[in-house]
Amino acid sequence: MESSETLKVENVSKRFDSFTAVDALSLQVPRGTMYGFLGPNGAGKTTTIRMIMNITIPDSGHIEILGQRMTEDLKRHIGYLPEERGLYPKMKVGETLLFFGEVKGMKASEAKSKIDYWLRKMELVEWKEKKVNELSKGMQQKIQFITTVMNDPDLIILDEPFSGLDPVNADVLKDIMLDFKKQGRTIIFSTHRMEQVEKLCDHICLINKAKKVLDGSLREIKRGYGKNTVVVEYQGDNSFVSDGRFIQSSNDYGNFVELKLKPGANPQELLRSMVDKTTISRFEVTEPSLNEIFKEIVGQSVEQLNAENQERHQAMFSAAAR
Amino acid sequence: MKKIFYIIKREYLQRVRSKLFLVGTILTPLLLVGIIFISIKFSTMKTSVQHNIALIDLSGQVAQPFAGAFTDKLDDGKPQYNFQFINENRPLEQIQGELSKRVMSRQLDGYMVFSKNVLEDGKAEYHARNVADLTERAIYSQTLSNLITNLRLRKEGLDPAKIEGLTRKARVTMLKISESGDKEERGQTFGVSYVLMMILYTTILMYGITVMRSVIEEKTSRVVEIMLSAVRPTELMAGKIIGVSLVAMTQYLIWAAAGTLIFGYGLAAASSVLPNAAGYLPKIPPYVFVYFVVFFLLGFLLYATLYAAIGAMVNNDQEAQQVQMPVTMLIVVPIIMVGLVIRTPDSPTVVALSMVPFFAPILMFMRITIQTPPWTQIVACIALMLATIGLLIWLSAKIYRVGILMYGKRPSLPELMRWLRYS
Repeated sequence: MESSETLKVENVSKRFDSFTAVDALSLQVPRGTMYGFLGPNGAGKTTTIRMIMNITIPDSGHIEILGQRMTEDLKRHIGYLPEERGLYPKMKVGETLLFFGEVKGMKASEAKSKIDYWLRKMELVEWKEKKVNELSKGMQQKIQFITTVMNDPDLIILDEPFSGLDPVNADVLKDIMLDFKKQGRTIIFSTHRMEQVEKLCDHICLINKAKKVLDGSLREIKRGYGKNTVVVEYQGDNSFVSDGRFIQSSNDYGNFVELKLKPGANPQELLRSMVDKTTISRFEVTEPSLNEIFKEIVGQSVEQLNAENQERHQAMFSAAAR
Repeated sequence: MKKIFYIIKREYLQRVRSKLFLVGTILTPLLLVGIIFISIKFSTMKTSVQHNIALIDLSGQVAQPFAGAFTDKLDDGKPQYNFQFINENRPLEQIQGELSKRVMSRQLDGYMVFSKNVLEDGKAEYHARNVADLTERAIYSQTLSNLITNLRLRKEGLDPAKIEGLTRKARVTMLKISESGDKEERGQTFGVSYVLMMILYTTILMYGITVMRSVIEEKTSRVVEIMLSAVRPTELMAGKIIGVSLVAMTQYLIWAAAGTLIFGYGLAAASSVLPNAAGYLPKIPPYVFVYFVVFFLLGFLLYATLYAAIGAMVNNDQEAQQVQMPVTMLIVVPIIMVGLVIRTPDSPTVVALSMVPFFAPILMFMRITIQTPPWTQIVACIALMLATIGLLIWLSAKIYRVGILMYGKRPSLPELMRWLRYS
């Protein structure tokens, strides 16, 4: 093995005019990990991934994949599912998959058996001779996913793979991703939704405004913050949320609240102060969630940043329409 | 490089199998055959309607020979023209009044009045319901003219047959001297060149736009980045352009085969009427077709790269309509100048214009068919085109690379300049 890292990005930058999309970003993706690449919309995730794929050329910096400098030939070993994705609407499903298999360097016979395997797995066999535009959006997403993984790539890069998927199909996708990880393949996926990362990833990289905020093993990151957080599911009185003796900050997720304890505050005493007034169904002393970690470092939550970027996008589009 | 083959294959098969191609390729020649077939049928078909015409001859000398000049028969063997001679000693107005009534009641198609001094003044009138038929007017005028000329000559004691022999018109045959030394007739050949030029113009425009549409399709269906996960943008662009050019070549082949068939049929049909029909056929030297293919490929490559870049710049067909205008104008301009090329194929202006790579496919091809220019000019022209194509591919590939991933606002010119730096 040439290197223990599947992907190495060193000091990579990309500017579009006055706008800096990616600023001196470095990251390492260890072999065989599920790597979460996260940040709010517009943070520079897609540009970074496009640079990794040699689709956008970096202004400066260095990218190494599987121990080699990225070349066109290496694309064969990478399965890439872009965020902006679609298929040729008038081609048949089978035809489409064969075409992508061949373009990725597969032999026709090999591609055909893989196509059958994946269509069976995705429960789309009876759609093989149908045209792509007769498929539902969810089915088309599954076909796109098959084009990404059909040639058994060592490295799989998925840009916002869950966006637009219904919960059932999102689950199917999640299981397949976990299977790949068990097979020892490396998976990088980007998302702006923290809870997906917390469930799936062992390594993460957080970026905001073109810059890396934080990266490393998820477990170690969380351990670094210590068990200073309490998650509570409750009914009744909620005055404990703003109890200045214990609580530094809180975040209400609807079904539960996440409370950050003041330094030195004892969770046992907090629990004792609550039991008389509140019915508690869950009380867990834990590490802070990624959302909280992000908020602590950046000062704003991912949701707030997403909303801000949304506004900026809309302003831009309405300017263009004028 | 194997990847590009699959891109070409997909582009080619998708287009050749489409209904549009079927309609454009198969139906066009069929329609042509149909039109030619029907027009031949019509031209050889005799009208089955008999013309009833009354003749009033105030001079008393021309009615009989005039009627005798019409010998055409209908399908059923009856004469096509049926003349009635009116010889009554009544006032002219009265006779005309009665005849007009018969014309109106459709017993007669019309009547003709020859003036008293028709031999001297050549005056005659034709009264009918329909006097708009130009062929009929020409037939009557011509017949009467010939008739009274002959009568006048006889009166002077001259033999009309001898006069005709003495006044036979001269005919100038056009022969062309070319560098290879062969002489060919140019008149009919020119017609074919003109048609070839129009096909060249139409197909370059049509297939250039096909490339543009194809790029837009990939953008709007968002398939383009999935493609880029496996291939270079330049490979995608090149594969597309080559694929579409092969579609055009396929169409040409089908048309050439169909054209040969139509020609054969036309020749056979014409031979039944004109024994020497083959002699009237245009003789097109084979090199014209070679140049046709060469200039199509060069012209297509040049414009297809431009159209590919435009496709990458825009988001939909409506936007493309506006942006493509200047490029389309570049193809249309030489069509306007064709008249100039025909009149003065070797004037400095025409030579200079035909060397401009954007005009060369039409103008240089036209010059070659009219008055083949020196080979140095042809070689220089092709070299210039190749250099321009190289430059355009380089530029377009850069625009394409950035543009296919840009959604939203269409770039302004300065933005486009910056795109060139991004890639």
